[in-house]
Amino acid sequence: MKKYLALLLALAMIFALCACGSTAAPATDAPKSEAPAAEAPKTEDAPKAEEAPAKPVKEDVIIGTSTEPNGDWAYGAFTSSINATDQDVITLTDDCVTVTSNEGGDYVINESVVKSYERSEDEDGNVTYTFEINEGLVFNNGDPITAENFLAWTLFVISPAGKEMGTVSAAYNQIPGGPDYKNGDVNYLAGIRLLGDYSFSFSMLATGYDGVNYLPYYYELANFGARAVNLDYWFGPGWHVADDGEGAYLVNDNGLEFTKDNVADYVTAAQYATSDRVTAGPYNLVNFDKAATEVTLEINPNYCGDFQGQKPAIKKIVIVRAEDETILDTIATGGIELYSGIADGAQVNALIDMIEGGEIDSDYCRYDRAGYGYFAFGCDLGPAQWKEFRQAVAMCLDRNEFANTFCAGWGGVVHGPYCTAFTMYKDSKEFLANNLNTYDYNPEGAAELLKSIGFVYNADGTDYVDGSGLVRYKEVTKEEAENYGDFCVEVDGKLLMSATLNWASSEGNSVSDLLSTMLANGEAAKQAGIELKQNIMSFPELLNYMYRQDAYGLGGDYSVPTYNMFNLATGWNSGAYDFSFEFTTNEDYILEGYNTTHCYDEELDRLSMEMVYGVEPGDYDTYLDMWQQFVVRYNDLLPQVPLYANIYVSVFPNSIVDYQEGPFWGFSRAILYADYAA
Amino acid sequence: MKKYLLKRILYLIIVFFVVSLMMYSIYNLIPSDPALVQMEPLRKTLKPDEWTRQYLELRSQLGLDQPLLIRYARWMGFMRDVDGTFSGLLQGNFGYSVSYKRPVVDIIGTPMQNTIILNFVSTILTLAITIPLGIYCAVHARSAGDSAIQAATVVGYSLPIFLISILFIYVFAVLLRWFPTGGAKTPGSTYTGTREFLDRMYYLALPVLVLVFAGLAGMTRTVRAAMMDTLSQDYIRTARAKGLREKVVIYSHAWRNALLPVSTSIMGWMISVFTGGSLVIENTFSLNGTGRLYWSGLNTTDYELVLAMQMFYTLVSLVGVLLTDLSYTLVDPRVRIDK
Repeated sequence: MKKYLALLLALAMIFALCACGSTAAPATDAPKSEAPAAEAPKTEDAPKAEEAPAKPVKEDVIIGTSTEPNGDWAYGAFTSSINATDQDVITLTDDCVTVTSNEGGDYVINESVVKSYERSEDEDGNVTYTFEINEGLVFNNGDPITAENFLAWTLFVISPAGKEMGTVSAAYNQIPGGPDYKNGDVNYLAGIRLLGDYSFSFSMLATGYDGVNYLPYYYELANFGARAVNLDYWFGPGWHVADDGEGAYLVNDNGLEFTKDNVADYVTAAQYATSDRVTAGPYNLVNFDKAATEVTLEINPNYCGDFQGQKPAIKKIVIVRAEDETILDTIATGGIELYSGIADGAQVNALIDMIEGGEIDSDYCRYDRAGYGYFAFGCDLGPAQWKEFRQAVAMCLDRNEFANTFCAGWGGVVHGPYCTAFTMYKDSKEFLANNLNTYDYNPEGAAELLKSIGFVYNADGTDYVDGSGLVRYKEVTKEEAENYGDFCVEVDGKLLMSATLNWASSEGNSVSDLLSTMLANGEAAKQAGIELKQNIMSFPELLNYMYRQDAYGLGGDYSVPTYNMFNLATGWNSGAYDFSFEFTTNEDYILEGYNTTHCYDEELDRLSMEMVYGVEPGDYDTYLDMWQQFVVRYNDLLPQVPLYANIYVSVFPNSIVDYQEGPFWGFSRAILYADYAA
Repeated sequence: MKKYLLKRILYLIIVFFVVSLMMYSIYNLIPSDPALVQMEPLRKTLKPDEWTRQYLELRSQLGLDQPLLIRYARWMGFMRDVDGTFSGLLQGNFGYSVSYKRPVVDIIGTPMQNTIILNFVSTILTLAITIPLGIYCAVHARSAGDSAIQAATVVGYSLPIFLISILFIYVFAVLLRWFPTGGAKTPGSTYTGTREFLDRMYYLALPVLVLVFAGLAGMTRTVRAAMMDTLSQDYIRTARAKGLREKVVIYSHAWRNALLPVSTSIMGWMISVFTGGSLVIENTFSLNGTGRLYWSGLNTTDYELVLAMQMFYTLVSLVGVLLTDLSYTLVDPRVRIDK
């Protein structure tokens, strides 16, 4: 046994020496504040700090991310929601697209790729976009990019082989010939045409095969975007796109069929590649280190430029996982140099203190969040079915104070379903100021609203006395009290419903905590006679109660309306503002989980649909008018109460300049415009 | 011995299946719909009818439209799956991660490797420190040194590990700049060979220190108690009476006999910590380990991933207990397990 013990101790010594050995250099040689670990030389036989030149030119930027990269580069074809960091890497590596978005989030034609394009519309309203791309575009491996590269991905995703491999297709019902191609009845996709080496077209139906009206659609350009993919890399050697006049199809030089068996291995290898991806973006994927969850990218000299012709100057970027709890320490020690979108106000304040105090050699930029936090009502349940009640609840919360407290000064309040980054908002500031109810903190006003809809009783049926601090009751019908029996009492033959909100609150949520303090346990709600019953649950359970999942009997207990208040947040990735179906009054759709606020208002439904599906692309004035009507209607009906809209802060090193993020312009876009400081 | 071993393995198999049924049932009781989790982000992309069609299709593909016992039987590999094949746990299929969109077996390898390295290094270091400390404390029981060591080591035991981590990061990474705050390697480095190994060890150093600090008290006390018990035995008194040197008494007579309870503790401890990732450590130090993967699986309601890991831990624990029991015979020849 002694022998084992000795062996054990020897091993321990070896590891101890290894661990201590490598720490010795940074601990003793490196200047403590000027040469943090992250800035250590990166070569195999790197000299120690004291032997190194005074300050080598640092070409890389280390970017922190709170979302761990999964390393799935299949453009979301196999998944419903692509990981945010994976998406950033795709943006940085695969930017040879026909349609992209600009700093304002608006969809635009990528003129570095598209030489010209033409939109045509037939008498049925079906639309075709014909693109001619620039000659001379190449992938990072030097392979030329031609029209077939822009068609291949759509042909793959909709194909029977793609379906068998698990691709998710949203477009096949809209594309002429889509279902026939998807089902394998034909081998070509009629709505996609290869017109020449550098020319191709995409068509979409006004009314899809599923009977849904897809066009006109205000943001239709987004649906006509295509990305260039290398066929050899993704599907194996010998694949091409051909077109015999009926539609584009995939064909192989060696006579292979486009089946799962023939392409799956290539697709999987490309999807999860850890290096040497064949792409056409500003950067190349040099390495995805799974063990360290780190992505290293280097500049692609073959890149044609973004939609404005911009090419990157920063030669190398490294994306690493950062922990929220230690993010400031990691920035302070140089472990991370650039971090996007810090939302926590306390962290932002500490960060700015560090910058202004000279503790770190960094700068920051700030921008409004493209989204907001809110609480939503279940507008068909209990007292929340009356808009005056919902308005009264809003008036019991000082939302400015809430936003200020929650965001520690780095946030504000919006009064409708929008963010301040939208062009529509910027063009409607005066209109919104004049037409929106800001629901200022006003407990007395809230009480008056409650009285106006009959909340004038105590639980025993006696008249309510203002300021008593008790919960108000209202006489209701059996229909009005449906599913809310726990909050109703019967007194002298009268059915009375209490002014109680049954709140589904997600666990471990700081918004819930503050709402509980400021609203549920606040003096205003008590003074007005409103009660909020907080029920803490996991977020998936909250979603189950919110969606109810009535359809097909899947909901179980969740299909019974139970809660009428939920706190959540929402956001936009682009400037496309599309609330279609979110306020639907179609009973089938509601059963399927749409219209989660259960606010059944024909006008709100009409506006949310027609705003995008009734306005021709480019007709901004009509769109703006409908948007304003929609926001005003929403503000009046108040199915949701916006609580806060953060101001995000991003930190970046002083070694780079011209770095500016925006609400729709994350680091993967902004880094292209940055350069090394002189 | 053979009979005993067969009996224990049979028990092990029974326990494994009972635990698997319990775990599967518990995770399926959690109010979450994996199909909904996958499909929810598509509500904005797909039109309602198409969304519903795909949602129901996915439910069917995942077998969610079947009763619990059938789902369990398929998951375990007792019944044919939706595709008509036996492809359950027994056939080596650890399931499919809905959040990573890959087979669990493809995901778990790298984190498991990281966790084993982290825990191996920290366990070895902990043992290297605690065994001598425990012996010292036992030999010098109730001395000032013993009291000081007891007090010092209990700090790591008493403080929550996340607090120790934050404190260590502040002291060793922020103030002293000896170590990085987290991560597994120098960002962007392309080191190879020894340089790569040293770089990885450098980044592991701080989390290892935290784990060692947190683990000092337990093993020190185990060793101390075992040694004190042994030192009070008559044969130790006899050894001393016959004039043996104190070192011989301690290391040849006392320590060998004290090893029996210590070794079994060490065996069980090592097996569990090698494979069971530290959720707090891995999250605080940005390490891609199994603890973090497990936590991520729970957060994303990726229950096939979580279940696979849970069953792996179950198996490791069961085998660990068996090995611990068997190790008694190695350490103490008086122990016979074939009776």
